Amino acid sequence: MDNRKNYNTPRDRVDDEFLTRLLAEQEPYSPASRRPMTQQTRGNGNGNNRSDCCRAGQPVGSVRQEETDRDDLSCGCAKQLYGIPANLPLAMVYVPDQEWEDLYGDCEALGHGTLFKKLDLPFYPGCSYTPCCGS
Amino acid sequence: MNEQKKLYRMIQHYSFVITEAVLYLDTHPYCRQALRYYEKYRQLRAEAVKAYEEKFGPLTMYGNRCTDSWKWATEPWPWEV
Repeated sequence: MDNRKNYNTPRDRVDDEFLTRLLAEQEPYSPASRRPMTQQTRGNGNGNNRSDCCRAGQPVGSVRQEETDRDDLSCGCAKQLYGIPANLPLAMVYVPDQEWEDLYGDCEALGHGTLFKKLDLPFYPGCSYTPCCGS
Repeated sequence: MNEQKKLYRMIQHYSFVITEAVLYLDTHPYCRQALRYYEKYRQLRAEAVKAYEEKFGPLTMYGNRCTDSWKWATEPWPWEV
């Protein structure tokens, strides 16, 4: 990763590769468009699905030894629920203190969905906005 | 865009930047720049609302300025214009 990069904005901290992959998704996320899990949801032989690990109240003892011996203990539930790659590192969550700076003009802000340029992040590809003022 | 729509759009823009300033001020209640910004646009919005309601009728149920009829019910609602 480029050390010279400026990490002042949330966008700066998003991995480009991840964002590209995210924006390349053709279908908007919906429960119905979840990709079927292959390895993770395959039955383990006794009729239980591996994603059962996310069910509350499952006794720890019900995890079979042959499963705990395997390298990949991820149940895949996070991926199934949120549709993001399972191999991303877990993170500390924080919100930097915002400054009153870099404002859009009053006629631009609404179209950008924010008054603050630093909060105008490219979450919606393909959208363009033409300011109404002067038209 | 006719005058009514222009004025209505302007009020929408003012309302939005006020909302943004308010959200900022909720977490920065002593920021003078934000307070000045809020005050400026609060006044601009109030003037725009007054101008709109005098010319085109009420924007909300509190804005009926006509003593002859209840314009809120007899004229198009702002979003129908």
